[in-house]
Amino acid sequence: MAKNLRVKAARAALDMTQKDLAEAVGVSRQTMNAIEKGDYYPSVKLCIEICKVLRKTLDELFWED
Amino acid sequence: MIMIKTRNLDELQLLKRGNVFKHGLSILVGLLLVNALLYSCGIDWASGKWAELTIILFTVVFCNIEFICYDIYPLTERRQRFLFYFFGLFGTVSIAVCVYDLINEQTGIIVDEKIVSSALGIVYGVMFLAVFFTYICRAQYKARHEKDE
Repeated sequence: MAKNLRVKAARAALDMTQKDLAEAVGVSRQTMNAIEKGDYYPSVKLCIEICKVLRKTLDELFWED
Repeated sequence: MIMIKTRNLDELQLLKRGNVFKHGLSILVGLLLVNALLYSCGIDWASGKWAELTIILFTVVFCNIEFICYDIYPLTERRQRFLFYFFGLFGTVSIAVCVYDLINEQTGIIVDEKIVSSALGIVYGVMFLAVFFTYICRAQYKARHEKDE
């Protein structure tokens, strides 16, 4: 699976750590790490939560061409 | 920013927990079948219900170790920490008592082609200690590699 660098970049732009983002969306830090590493594809509900916290759209963070 | 405080497992942890239960069930069924096969061939390796109890305990220990490795337990939570320290203490005491028992009774580990209950007590102690040491190793690994990720 490919790494999700867009989530990582958006998180870094807001100066958030994985732990901060994980707490904000209500998951464990390990889950957030797995999402960024591309080891796990999150549910739509979790994707929306991440987008809300990072102030991005679903397309910007999760759409793949 | 709204902070959602989690107490329950998240979706990935639930998925992994389901996999662990699946592995546990497979191992339990497999070992019980092997045990039944051995029993039907006239090989009774532990007296009474100890064989089945050992298999059940082995499965529980296996699942616990997988839970720790997959980060399903919140390892730093105080309640979890006490539970694993209790496992360590229980394992150590169990081994000490059973070794003392074996030495006192002057019997071997195997009597009438069956493993005696004191020897199985040592095995149980080792299993509990395995969970404890897995917890310790995992907690230390996480503390070292937390920032690397």
